[in-house]
Amino acid sequence: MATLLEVKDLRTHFFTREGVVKAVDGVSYAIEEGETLGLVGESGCGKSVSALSIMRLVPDPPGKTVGGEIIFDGQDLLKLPDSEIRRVRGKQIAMVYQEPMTSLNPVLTIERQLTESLELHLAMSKTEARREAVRRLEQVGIPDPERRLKQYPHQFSGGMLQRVMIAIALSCNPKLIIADEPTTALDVTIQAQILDLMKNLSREYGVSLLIITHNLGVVARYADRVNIMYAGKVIERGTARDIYRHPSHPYTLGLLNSVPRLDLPRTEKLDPIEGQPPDLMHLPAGCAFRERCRFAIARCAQEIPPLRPVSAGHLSACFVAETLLSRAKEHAA
Amino acid sequence: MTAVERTQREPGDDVLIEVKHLKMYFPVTSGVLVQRTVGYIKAVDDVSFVVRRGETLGLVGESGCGKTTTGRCVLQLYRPTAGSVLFDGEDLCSMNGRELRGMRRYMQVIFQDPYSSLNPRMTAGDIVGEPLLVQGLATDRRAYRERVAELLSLVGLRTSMADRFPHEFSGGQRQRIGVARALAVNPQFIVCDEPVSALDVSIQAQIVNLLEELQEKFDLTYLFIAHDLSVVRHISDRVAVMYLGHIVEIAGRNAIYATPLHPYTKALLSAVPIPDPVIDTQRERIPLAGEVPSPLNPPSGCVFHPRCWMATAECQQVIPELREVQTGHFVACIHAPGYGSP
Repeated sequence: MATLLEVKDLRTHFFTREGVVKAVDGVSYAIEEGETLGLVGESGCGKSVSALSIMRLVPDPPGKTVGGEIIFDGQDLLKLPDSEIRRVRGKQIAMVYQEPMTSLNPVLTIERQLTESLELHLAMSKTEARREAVRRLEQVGIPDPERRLKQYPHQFSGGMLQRVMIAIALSCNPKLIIADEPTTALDVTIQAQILDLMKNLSREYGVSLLIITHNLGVVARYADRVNIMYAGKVIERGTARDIYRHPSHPYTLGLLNSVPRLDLPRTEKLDPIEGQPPDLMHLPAGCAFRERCRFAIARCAQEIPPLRPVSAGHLSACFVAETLLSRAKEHAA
Repeated sequence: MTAVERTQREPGDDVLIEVKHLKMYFPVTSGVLVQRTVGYIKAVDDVSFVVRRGETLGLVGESGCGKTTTGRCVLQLYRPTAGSVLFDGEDLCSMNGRELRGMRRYMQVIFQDPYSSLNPRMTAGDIVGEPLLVQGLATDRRAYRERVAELLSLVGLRTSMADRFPHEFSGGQRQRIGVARALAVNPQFIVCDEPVSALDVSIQAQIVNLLEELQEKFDLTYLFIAHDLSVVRHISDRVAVMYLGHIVEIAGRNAIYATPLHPYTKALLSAVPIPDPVIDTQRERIPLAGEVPSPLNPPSGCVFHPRCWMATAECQQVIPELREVQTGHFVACIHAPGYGSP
């Protein structure tokens, strides 16, 4: 499999009056062709900002990508002039946002919002674009597409709107779809419908998916590989199986332990991660997770642990990763 | 007395809250100058349940199913269209505003979003202490300060934080303030309306544990409203599942998760992804087609029939009542085993 997109040492910082917020600080990952990659973390960990940086959509000011490269199709997206990046956005890389209710334009018909990119990127005529729009709506399972095209976003339910967003994202046959919390605003039965739809379409057309979410369950079901982020850095990476079966970073382990699970007997008490996520403006020296970590050693306060391999294709940014890994394997056995 | 009331309420039961045939209809109006009522949104339509002293009843369902409206009706934050809510035997629905204010000493609420439910211009201490002043429970300035400090430390905040404003706290800490405020008047009953769904995963478990500790310490009774089925299983003794204004199933925690009887409960449980790729792919999944219909114009008969794979012609006509099919396990589906003739 060839690499479709490579993010190298990305740094996106926000320059505010109170100080510099290092929202994304040295993040690297790659997405293979046709792969579904999960980017998991809690609010403020930098997962959305890292995706917006790919599309160069971080509001500037106060945000600025101050370092790194984003190699897509042999070129560095960060170096492209504005006119060029506009040709990538929507055409080669498309985005599905969290809240379909607020991310579509309420005063334009669904037709206009679907045909806009077709006319712009694929130079279709009005009638061609309309025919294509009908086909795309059918593809995402919207009944009666001819009538629905003339309607406005408020006439759709949340799940239906998310289908429209997917239709828009797919319309120009992109190579990559970035889905930022695509189902967080939806109910659990609708969530399953939307994610199944995205996964099936990505398989059918060989589109890569970058799914950004805080929901560990969603990623387990749909992602091939997973990156876990904390305080602006990727702290663990591996196949979904590696991450869930053999977590090798204390934060990943903590996240997995803190959620009650429907498939296991109920425990008397939940096992939370103590403390609060760190303030990105005043990060502690060394490992950012240290203060909440049960396994912290003296070295954690002095050095930032680098992301390094612990087994084939499985990386962790923790000094005691090997101990955790062997414990997890023992536990699983 | 209907079958439900008779059986949900066992003899010798210590029932704190009893909800009978609760209905909450919101009028839908049309017209600019002369507002005419053109229909009703039946947010809650004939719901009955009991909450026993010291237990947690979980109320789950998807958005728009009426779970939050039910919680608000129990507290009389909405005055119900019909039905009654008995608190320790007294009917809240027939009380006037002054009498209700007195009752609020015994029943409190924790809201979902700690970002919008705390007054940004009040300090944490004043937010927590306000109910004491409203209820006239603070005898003097010193007693008030001491009680506020006690409440803050009870929920795991430092007493020195009393002078800070909500924006200086993280989401989890704000929710702790909300919990402290609810506890201020020493209530017996708390409606927890999605208390953890706005919080990060690692913080959710902290708040759930806190709620459980406080329940044990003060013998609290909770109505725990949530859409996250895993959290509800963890915290509840019994669980009620709502769909489109109706309770479709009520049972003990273990029964409802191990042997769900209503098709909607089954589908809902199967849709929850498990954070383990190996186990998740082995689970049986029941995909639900379509979406929840509008409560303005609900389907005839069983409200779930348009999405149900077991539906027959009968389901379109008969509104299934909630019946006990196994001890303590109630279901409203004519096809459920043991339901009997509709």
